Amino acid sequence: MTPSFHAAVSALTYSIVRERCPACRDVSPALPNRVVRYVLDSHAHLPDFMRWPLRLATVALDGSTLPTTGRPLHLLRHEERWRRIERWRSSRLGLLRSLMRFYEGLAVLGAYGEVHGDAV
Amino acid sequence: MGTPSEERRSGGRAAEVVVVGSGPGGAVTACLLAEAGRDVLLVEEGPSLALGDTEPFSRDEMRRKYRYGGLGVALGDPSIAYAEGCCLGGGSEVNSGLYHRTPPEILERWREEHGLRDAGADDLAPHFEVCERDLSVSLLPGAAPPASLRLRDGAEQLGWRSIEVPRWYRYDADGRGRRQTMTETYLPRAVRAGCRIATSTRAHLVRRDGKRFTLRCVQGSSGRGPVETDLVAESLVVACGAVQTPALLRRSGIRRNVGRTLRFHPTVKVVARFPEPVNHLGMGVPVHQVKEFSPRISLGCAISQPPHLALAMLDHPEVLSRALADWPHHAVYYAMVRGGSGTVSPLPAFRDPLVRFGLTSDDFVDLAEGLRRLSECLLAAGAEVLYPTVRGLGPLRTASDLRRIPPALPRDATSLMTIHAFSSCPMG
Repeated sequence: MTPSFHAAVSALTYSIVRERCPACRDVSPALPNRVVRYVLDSHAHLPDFMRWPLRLATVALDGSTLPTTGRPLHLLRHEERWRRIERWRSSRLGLLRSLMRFYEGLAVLGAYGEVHGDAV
Repeated sequence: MGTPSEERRSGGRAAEVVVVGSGPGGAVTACLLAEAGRDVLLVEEGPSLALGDTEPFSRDEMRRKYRYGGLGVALGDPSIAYAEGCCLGGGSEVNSGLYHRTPPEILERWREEHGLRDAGADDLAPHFEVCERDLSVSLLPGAAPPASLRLRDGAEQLGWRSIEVPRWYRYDADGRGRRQTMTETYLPRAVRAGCRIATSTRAHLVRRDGKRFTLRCVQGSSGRGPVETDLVAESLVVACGAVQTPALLRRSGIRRNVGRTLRFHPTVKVVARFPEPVNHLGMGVPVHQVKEFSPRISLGCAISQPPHLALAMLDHPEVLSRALADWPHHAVYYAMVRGGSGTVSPLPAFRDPLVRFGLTSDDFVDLAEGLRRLSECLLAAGAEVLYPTVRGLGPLRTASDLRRIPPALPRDATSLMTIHAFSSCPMG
């Protein structure tokens, strides 16, 4: 029940891949896992001064659903999680939009890279 | 002469000249100095990877040959994504190899603003010719990729000037090309002339001791290794790119005229769908650019492999997966503008520098005009629908739809990126 960076990244990535890349279902059940690893690896390559703020923001996002649902984002059902992601994507807060854009960009890059055999 | 770490232990001179950075600036400098008989040591932060070690424009290449895995960000309103190489050969190893001579208007500005004499287009022509020969700068031996030809076709329909940009490529009799990067050209020449190369060695600090320079480096994979090394040289050339050069100098206390005038070519993109296929796996680099509005605005075609298409479709989520299912009919195009200015600042306690970039309201007017011109061109080329990287703008299908493009693109809804960073350490 504790917010977690890895679990949040994994949950965000799974949801984005499911919604944005239906073709992924036909490739391999392991595909979303490979995309999660790609997203985490990309995070590790970021400029050093950005890594911790991004990590903290992600954990905060994971914990933001606790007050209303009693569960962190990563433990919500996909449909409930996706509703929140959609809301954050069009949030009036630029930082929130940017965070969602970061994960969405990496997840679609990773997903379609996997589908089309672009090795990592 | 031993390795750099041996030099530190002995306290001796590492080389007569140390060159920091092995991209086109550093590689050519090191090569010519070594061939002139100088004792040269070239220091490169990234790893040594052969041209064929990674698939061009793949995620593997981004991870292994780009700084930050290709995820550089210049913070601002809006932030701009940028990419730069970080491997032996620098940007030449990861870019498209498109070649332009320095434009005459830039040379004229350098003459006016900095009193740079004997550097006009005619003065430099023999030097350009040598570079073009060394790099086998040439036009495609066969037809350009279809997506590239569509841009040319649209420009022709509108009576606009377009060009095929030559590339540093060497072609065999069958038309197969090999990019003439620094690891294929100037760096092997430099080594043959006696230049030594230290890869995975990050220059951290420069100190001047009388007539000698000491360069403190960190050796290890991608600069994260623990071994500190001091390299002593009589001359030092810092050529490690528009971000790392000012970062190194400012970290070393050299601040005058350094890192305050970073320039980008901010780029807004459009995904175009055509009735016929224009894209295929391994399509290669599009080579046509529309120069009708140059130098203020340039139009071109970008790398359009499916992952790049998906990234460019993020502002149109409702059709993203449908477009990707039909991706051979789609290609990514860009409108590139000049404008804006940025800074590079080292941060205490952090290795990586902070890059900030600001655009004026006029720059967003230029971006809007660039997007409008690009859209006109693509519709004239037969595109059925256009998806701009502007949130909320929606698909554009007809000339009348282009009226929906606002006079200035909205700051908070426009996704910008660039691969051109320059001018952070100007003359003077």
